[in-house]
Amino acid sequence: MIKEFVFGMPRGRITQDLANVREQTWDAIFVTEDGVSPPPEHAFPWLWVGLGAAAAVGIVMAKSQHRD
Amino acid sequence: MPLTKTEEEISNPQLAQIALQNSEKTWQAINVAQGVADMSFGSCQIVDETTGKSYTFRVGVPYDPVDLPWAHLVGASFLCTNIGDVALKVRVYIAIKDPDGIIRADAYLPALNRLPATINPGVGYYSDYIGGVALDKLGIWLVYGRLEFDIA
Repeated sequence: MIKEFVFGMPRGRITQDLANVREQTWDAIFVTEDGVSPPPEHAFPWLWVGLGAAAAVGIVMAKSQHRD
Repeated sequence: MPLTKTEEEISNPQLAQIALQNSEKTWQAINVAQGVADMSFGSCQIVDETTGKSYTFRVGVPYDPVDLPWAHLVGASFLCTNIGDVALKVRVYIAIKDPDGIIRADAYLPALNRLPATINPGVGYYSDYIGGVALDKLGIWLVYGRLEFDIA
């Protein structure tokens, strides 16, 4: 059944509704952590907390060495 | 019962003989009916693009979901077949849904701005391949397929 013609469009640009429909769903993938680290964007807060802590320790150590 | 003869038959006895030998026969030769339009799903293929491994779910064969780790990239496609007895015009839709039911990738083949494909009886047709989907949620991910078809 032709529902809609789009005039003035390039050749072949016609939309159609097709009468019969079949559907199926596959439970395809089960995602587990499995000891795999999440990608950096998901580890984001902990990554920056860790980097910040390391930087703070470095600054403190540098200052203490400078005083000596 | 006396037979009556036309003037032509009286004047030409041979013609009258031919007319007597005529008989009739009818053959039920051709049945014109609308064919059956039907399609079935075939196998579904999952590709772990991170490792390059592919996994196939076959028709009628019980399966478990593929166990994949977090953050891998995946793709999917499926096969369908015209199991009717007439040529069909067909459009096939595929989607990957995350555990929350959100569509993460989908595609029509042919695309919606194109005419449907014509598929003959007994012939298979692949959905589009949709890939590059990052597994960033724990749980079951779905592949959803829809066949839209009509007699060509």
